[in-house]
Order: sequence, then C-alpha cells, then structure tokens
Amino acid sequence: MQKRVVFRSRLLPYLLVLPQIAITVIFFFWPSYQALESSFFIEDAFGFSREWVGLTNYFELFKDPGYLKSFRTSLIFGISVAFLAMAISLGLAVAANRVVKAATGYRTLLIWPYAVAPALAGVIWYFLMNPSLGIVSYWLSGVGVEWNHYVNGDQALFLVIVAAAWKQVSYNFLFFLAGLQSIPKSMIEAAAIDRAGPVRRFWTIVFPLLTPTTFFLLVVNLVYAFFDTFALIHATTEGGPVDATSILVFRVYNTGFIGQDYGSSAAQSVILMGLVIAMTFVQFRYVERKVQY
Amino acid sequence: MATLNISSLGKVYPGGVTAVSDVNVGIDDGEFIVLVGPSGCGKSTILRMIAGLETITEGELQIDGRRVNELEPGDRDIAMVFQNYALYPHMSVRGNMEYGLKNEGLPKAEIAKRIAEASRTLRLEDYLDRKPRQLSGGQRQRVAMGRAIVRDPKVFLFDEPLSNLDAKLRTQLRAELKALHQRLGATFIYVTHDQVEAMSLADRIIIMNAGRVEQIGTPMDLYLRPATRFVADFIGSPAMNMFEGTVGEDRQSLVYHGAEQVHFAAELPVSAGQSVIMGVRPEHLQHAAEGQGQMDLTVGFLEQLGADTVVHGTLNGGDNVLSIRLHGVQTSAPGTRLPLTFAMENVHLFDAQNGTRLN
Ligand SMILES: Nc1ncnc2c1ncn2[C@@H]1O[C@H](COP(=O)(O)OP(=O)(O)OP(=O)(O)O)[C@@H](O)[C@H]1O
Ligand SMILES: [Mg+2]
Repeated sequence: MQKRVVFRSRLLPYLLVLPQIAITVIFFFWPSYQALESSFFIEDAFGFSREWVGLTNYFELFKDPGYLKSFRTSLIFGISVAFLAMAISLGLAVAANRVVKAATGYRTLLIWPYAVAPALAGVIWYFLMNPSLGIVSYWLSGVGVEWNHYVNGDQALFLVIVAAAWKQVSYNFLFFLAGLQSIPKSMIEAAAIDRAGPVRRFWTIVFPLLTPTTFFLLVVNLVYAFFDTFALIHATTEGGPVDATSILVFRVYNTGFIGQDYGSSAAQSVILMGLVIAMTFVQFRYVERKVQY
Repeated sequence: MATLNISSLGKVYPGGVTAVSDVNVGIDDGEFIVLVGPSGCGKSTILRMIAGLETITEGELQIDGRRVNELEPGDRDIAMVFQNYALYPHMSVRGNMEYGLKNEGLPKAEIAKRIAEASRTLRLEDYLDRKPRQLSGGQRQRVAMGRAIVRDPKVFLFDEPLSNLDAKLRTQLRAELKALHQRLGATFIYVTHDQVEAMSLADRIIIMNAGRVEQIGTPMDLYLRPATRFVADFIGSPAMNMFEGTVGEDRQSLVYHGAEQVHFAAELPVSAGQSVIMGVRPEHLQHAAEGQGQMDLTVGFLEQLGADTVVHGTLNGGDNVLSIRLHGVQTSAPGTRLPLTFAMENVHLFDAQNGTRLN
C-alpha cells in the first residue's frame, strides 16, 4: 500500500515547495548561470566594459602552469584528506564497535569536531601548529623536526590536510560504525570457526562488506576536500606559502577577488561545477545500485 | 570423529545472568546428540561454548580427552551451521566453502577435491558460482552444511538449522541430515526447540529447562520413562494428559476436589494421601465398554487428522483437560461421556511438589 497525501487545492502543493525552489533558483541557478556567462567574457578591471572571447579563458587556464599546479595540489590534498579521514575513522569505529556498551559516550565525544565551523577547525590547528607558540610545533622541535609552515610549503600542505581530515573524521565515524553494526555477528563467528584470525577476518569479511559505506564516504570526502575547505585554508595558510596550499576553490577566490580577473575566475568556477556534477552523478549511479556484492 | 566430555559446565553471562549450570554428559564418537528445550533454556549457549564462541565460565570441556576451554574456535576442529546460515554474502558458493580450507593452508588440488565431493553429496554442483542471495532458503542451508562438511571436522554443531524453512522442506532436509550423519560417521550436536525434530534425529536427546538438564536418554527413554514432569509434558504430541490429585485410601484411585476421578487396576507405588501428578499419553487411552471405564472423558471437540482422530474434552466434565487419540475416522457429539481404560505400564506418576518421577 502506498501512502499518499491528496491535496484538494491544485495550487497548495506548488506554494509549499515554492520557498525551496526560490532559494535554489536565487542562490544556485542564478549564480551558476552568471558564472557560466562571465566565463566567456573578459572584463576590464573597473567593470565598465566586457568583451566576448569565447573559450579563451579556458584555454588560458590550461596554459597557466600555476593553474595546473593547483590541480595537482587539489588532487594531493583531496586524496590525502579522504584517505586520512577515512582510515582514522574506520579505526575508531572498529574500536567503538568492540565496546558497544560504552559507545554512546565515546560516540558523542567523537561527533564534536563535526559541529566545529571549518574556519574554527582551521584556527585550532593553526594555533596548535604555530611555529612560535603552538604546542605541537614545540613537541616537534623536541624530537628534532623544524616546523615552520610559513616557509615550508610541504609542511603547510600537511597542516591543512590534517586540519581538514580531523574535521571530517566524526562524520565518517558515524557511517562506519553504523555499517559495522549492520554486519551480522554470526558472520564474524563463522569466519572465526573457519580459522581466520582477527586481522584476516577484518580484511576478508568485514572490509568487503563495508564497501558500500566506504564508497559513499569516499565521494562525500572528496567533495568535501575539493569544495568545502575554502574557509579552513583561508583561516590557516591563505593558500601559501607561494601557492603551496592553493587548491582549486581557493584559486577561484584568489583570481577573482584578489586578482580581479573575473573571466578567468568564472571559468575556474565552471570547471569546478563540472567536477561536482560528475562526482554527484557517480554517487547517485552508485547509490541506485546500492550494494555491489 | 571425536568423543566429548562435558563436566559441570556452566555459563554466567557478564551482568550476572546464569544461562546454564552444571551440565554433565559424555558424548561418544559418531553419536547424534540433540539438545532440546523451550526458548531461552540455554541450548545455544551450550553449543556456543562447545564452539568456543562464548567463554566457559564453569566446568570443563574435553574433545578427545583434551581440555579445550581455552582454545580459539578455529583450533577446536569443529564446524558450525548457524540458524541464519551466516554465509559470506560477497563470496560465491565455492568461495564460501573454500574460505576455511584456504585459511587452513590446504593445497589447491585438495581443496578442489573436497569441494567437488561435498557439492556432489549436497547436489550443489550447478550453483557453485552463484552468490548466496541468488539461492533459495533450502539451497543456502545446503551451502552452510557444505561449508561444514569440507572442513572434515571432528564435531559438527548445528543451531536450529532448519527453523527458517517451510514444513515440507524441513522434513526433507531432516532426512538428508540423518543420511549425511550415517555417511560421515561424525559426531553431531544439534540444537532445536522442536521435539519432533529431536525425536526423529537423535541417538540421544539432552532435554533442558531453565539452564539445567532435565534428562539425557534415547528418544524412547524419554517417551516411555520421562524422568520429570517437564520431560513428560515436553515430549509427545498431543501432550501427555496430567492430573493433579491425592492418592486414595485404597491406593488405587486419584482423588480430586473430594471426588474419585481415576481408578487404577493395581496399587500405586506411593502412600495413601500423597499429592501426585498422574500422566497418561492420549494414544495410551482406549475406549472402554460402558461400566468398565477407569475414567470418563466429556467430549469437547474433535480434531480429524485423517489417520487418527484426537478427541479433546475434560475429565469427568470437571476442569482437567483430557485428550485421547483414536485410530481412524471417529465421530462423537460434544457433551458425550466416553468411558476410558489404560494399561498400568503406561501410567506416569510425578511428585506434585518437585515433579520427579515416582514410579
Ligand atoms: N550475550 C548474552 N548476555 C546475557 N544473557 C544472555 C546472552 N545470551 C543469552 N543470554 C541469556 O541466556 C539464556 C539462554 O539463552 P540461549 O540463547 O542459550 O537460549 P536458547 O535455548 O538457545 O533459546 P532459543 O530457543 O530461543 O534460541 C537466556 O535467558 C538469554 O536471555
Ligand atoms: Mg538458540
């Protein structure tokens, strides 16, 4: 049986969804259209005139070594964040799953970072790792590591990766824990009787059964790392030193608002938009099929 | 092939629930043992302690004379079939059967040979490359058994393996299981709450109640000489008729509410005035000629089973329910009084207080 609501008035249902549609149109469709349009023009610095240039902005981008480097940085950043955040949360979820009784308190603690605004998460790590007053950099110098992410680009990238991953761990944890708890206990027991030790059980039974969760989280984490980390980077490294942490979203802002090159910035946005659409598409395709075993 | 020795076995779960206490039994090589009892009586707990999935909190378990309390499940040389089958959903039927053998590190040729043999026995050859979700319940059950057989373990453990199947399939698989046991000659320990399954499969039955063993014996022992009132009530369908009462002055009658209810052909081996429970199975009661009855059945309703007719009613029209099983198709109007007789050897007497057998 299907539960359906039947409206007497034909107008009411449309009125009810109108606010959501209005928001979507004003804040998503319209800016997207604007970005798409601007990406085909070159505008003068004062915004007085603009000139149709077709795909020039795009061609220019892919000739620009800075942009290509930013692509590479984004890839390293995205993959590292996703991998780190997922590995840590999977470890925590496995541990939590073993002590289900104490898990409520433990779970609540683990969820806190998710409630922290991205910029604040960045600032927390910025203070922890600050070369002159951060506690972590102090410890690091204790073991002989010279920490200065203002100068060292690799260290700066590492810092934003850790900060971004940290914030995402709790989200992943919830999904992994739910995934683990949905694996029937008897399946693990059957494997134990089949002479598989705990490690082998994990890799041959538990991990394969978690594939749907893992894949879903992979997409979510990549999307997060690519598109949701602007505030975090802005608050910590501001893309520097020398573009070392300037991922694609950050570059859009830099080109547009600092460099005032609206055409190029718009073209970059459009490329990013394409990426999001592609990833969402992959995810939906996958979610439709749900499980693959 | 193995013997098991279970002595003073007990289980207290964390939190203080005593699920099982003081179980003692020796199991012979190649025996088919069925653990039976009502839900929550501790059957699965015992099986899981034997498997090593639950720690043994009291007593000792020996397999082939060696203490195994501390061994991991994988090191006990046992195989288990779960109620929900617990097949690995991401592996094919072949993969499911191979898994344990690969973990043991057997050579490829040996693995292939064992799988070929087991799948032939269980008629699974055509399904080896399917995933569990592409199989019917009965086929899944066979795969679960195949996974156990290929391991060639000392002891097979089954936890209600047929309870998710429909009645017809259950009967069919029961016969297959019995044949499998005879062919393998291995020790089987089988948990069920279905007394018919227990009676038809077991060499010996362990019947449990509230964490304790009530009786251990062959199906016929349990049927003919139940050691306690609980066993008498649990084994047999329809259930045994039981009446509580005091033994009359002549020690040949049962008195209830001040009136004689049942008359016996010989003296009972208990003293006059004692409170007892008398039991007699529905199939052991016969229709007697008028005036020859030892008790009367007031007919309530009939259950026509084809081969038999079960007549349900009450004892002498009182509040004790009584049923008899008659051969063939019989009819009888509600309210009719039927005089009944029974042989003395079919009478079971139990203590009214603690339920132990008195005769
Ligand atoms: N993990 C556990 N922690 C605490 N108590 C438990 C646990 N598992 C079982 N018990 C308790 O132990 C008793 C025996 O349970 P068990 O599962 O052995 O029963 P069973 O005879 O197999 O019943 P069923 O026929 O319903 O499967 C029950 O009272 C149950 O509540
Ligand atoms: Mg059980």
